[in-house]
Amino acid sequence: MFDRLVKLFDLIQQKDREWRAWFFSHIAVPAVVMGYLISGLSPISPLSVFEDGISIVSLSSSKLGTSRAREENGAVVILDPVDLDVSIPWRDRSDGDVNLRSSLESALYASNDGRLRVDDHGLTIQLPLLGVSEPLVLVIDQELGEQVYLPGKKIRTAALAPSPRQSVGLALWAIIGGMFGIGLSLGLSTLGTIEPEK
Amino acid sequence: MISLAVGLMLVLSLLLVNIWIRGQPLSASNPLDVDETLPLPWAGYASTIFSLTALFGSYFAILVILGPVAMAGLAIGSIVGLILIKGAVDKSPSASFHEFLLSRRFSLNADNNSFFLGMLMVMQLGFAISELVIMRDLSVAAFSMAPRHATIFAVAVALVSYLYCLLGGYGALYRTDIVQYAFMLVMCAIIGLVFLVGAMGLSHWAITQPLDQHFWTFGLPVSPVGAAAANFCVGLLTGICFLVSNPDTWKRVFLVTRFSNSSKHPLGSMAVAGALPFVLLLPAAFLVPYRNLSEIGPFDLFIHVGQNRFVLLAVVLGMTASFMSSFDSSLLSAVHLQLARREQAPLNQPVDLAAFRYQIGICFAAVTAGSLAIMSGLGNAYFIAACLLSFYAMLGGIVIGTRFLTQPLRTVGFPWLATAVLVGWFAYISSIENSLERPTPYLVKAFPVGMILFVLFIILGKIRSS
Repeated sequence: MFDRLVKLFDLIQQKDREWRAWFFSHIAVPAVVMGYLISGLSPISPLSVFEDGISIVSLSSSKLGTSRAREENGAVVILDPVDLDVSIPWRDRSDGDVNLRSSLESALYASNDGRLRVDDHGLTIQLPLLGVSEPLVLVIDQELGEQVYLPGKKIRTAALAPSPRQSVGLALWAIIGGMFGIGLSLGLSTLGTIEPEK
Repeated sequence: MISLAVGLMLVLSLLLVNIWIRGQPLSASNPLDVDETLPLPWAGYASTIFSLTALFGSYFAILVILGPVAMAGLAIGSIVGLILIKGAVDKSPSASFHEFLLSRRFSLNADNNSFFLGMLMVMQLGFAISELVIMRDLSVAAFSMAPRHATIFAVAVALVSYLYCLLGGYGALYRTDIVQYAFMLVMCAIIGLVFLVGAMGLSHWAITQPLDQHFWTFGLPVSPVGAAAANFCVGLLTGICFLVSNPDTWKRVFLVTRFSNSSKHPLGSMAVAGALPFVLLLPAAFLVPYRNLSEIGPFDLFIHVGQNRFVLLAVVLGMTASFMSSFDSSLLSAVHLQLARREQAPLNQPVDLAAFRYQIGICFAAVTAGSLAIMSGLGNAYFIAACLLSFYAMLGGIVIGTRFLTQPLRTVGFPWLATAVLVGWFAYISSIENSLERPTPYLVKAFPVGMILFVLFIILGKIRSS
């Protein structure tokens, strides 16, 4: 990788000043900026969230009919049908049975017995579940811990909250505009220049 | 729909440049030496005084805290600033704006002259950074964006501005300014209408009850009339200072003065274009919520916006357009100043297309890196704008004191003086309560201090000019 970069650098150095300036302004700068915006390495990239395939919303209250709302902690977990192992510990060890509601058909629970486990410590899921091709929604009456464990990393539970669609849409359309601009600038920059009247 | 509309606006800006540039690509020898073919220079002038930094960083706070008298001073000061610039343009024998810029002499010492131009450039870059950071803040507060996505949105929109400036220079900038001005006017008209309907039936108007008219009197026992006079004077000086220290405004006034064939009063057209968005927003000013100092926020204007999708659409498009217009103006001004600096002694370097491309790439990279660093480390998006006030005061004072840089200073040691002032100013702004952590209205107290600095540098310029 490093050797290739050195070769690329040598190649650029051999070019004339005009070419180097064009490369720097039309390719290097936009590529670095856009790369930072969309790269999964960037902490702000939307792709880093999309790739995880999991969203978590914390629940804080419940209300039955016309009665007063009362504090009741819980969570909604939404999981995409991707290849993923997830472990979500509870904030506090559960004393009794955990109440779990889900979009999984009751007949499929037996087939996924080893893939979807709920115990005193937390929730463990091995995705994709057998017989499930749509996002899985789980409603849990336990407060989740501060971190979620994925293969090779830990993510803060709060960081997995879903974003408003408008927020995602504006960011993505701005990126599309930027990409369009980079493409257009590369094409138009080869149009040539004019010489001033003497 | 809102996201799609913003995407289409960005694409429209790029396509507009695409269509135009085929007939007039950039010059190979001096790509920024373009004057006569630039259309409607007054359209982008509005972006200078209707920038996000000005609107949310100062105007809103001044209106709410100090009231309409201070705003009137600001408006009149802006007009006086235009007249001062026009006076300098009328006296100049330069045939082009590039020549006008090169003929400005801050000092008899070439190194000091280069330093002065460098400071102007840094001020423009700082302004661009401030615009980007505030755009991100605005996106979170008014567009309901997640902070992460707001960062992406602001930087990607800035990238689009950079790309069409890179392709078309001033030609692209002035043409996209027209489209962006239209979006801004539509936004202001819709907001004004929404608030006008809401203002009917009010028992009082918030604008007539400013929060603290004595905010700018340093705690001195001044009568209400005296406080109003002080507010007007500080507003007046602020308006003058902002305009005379802005090279983008110099260029627009230059073009309007020298190349405007359609209007008998070109400067009047410029003043009207600049005032129009504010006139349309007057009903909103009447309905600004009446609160105490600890509760007001820069985006209180948008309390009613989110309730209507159509109004939100207009606001998103208008604010994005306003950001693009002021961001690209300051970016290109910084590049032009840097090229002028390179062309002058002692550097004497070429300012061809390659130099332009290098400089604009470097400037944009610096602005983006600076903005991202500030977004991740600073809690107050308006801190940069407050720091920039010292630049405006110093540089604006020198500009006026040296009769628009035609009577160079005899003094040496200006770099040391400027550095000392900037460091002192930074310490002062940092000492204001919570100025680093979150937006605070107490930053507005820096304006009279800044204007004292402005007057001192005018005097310095007068005393030490040749």
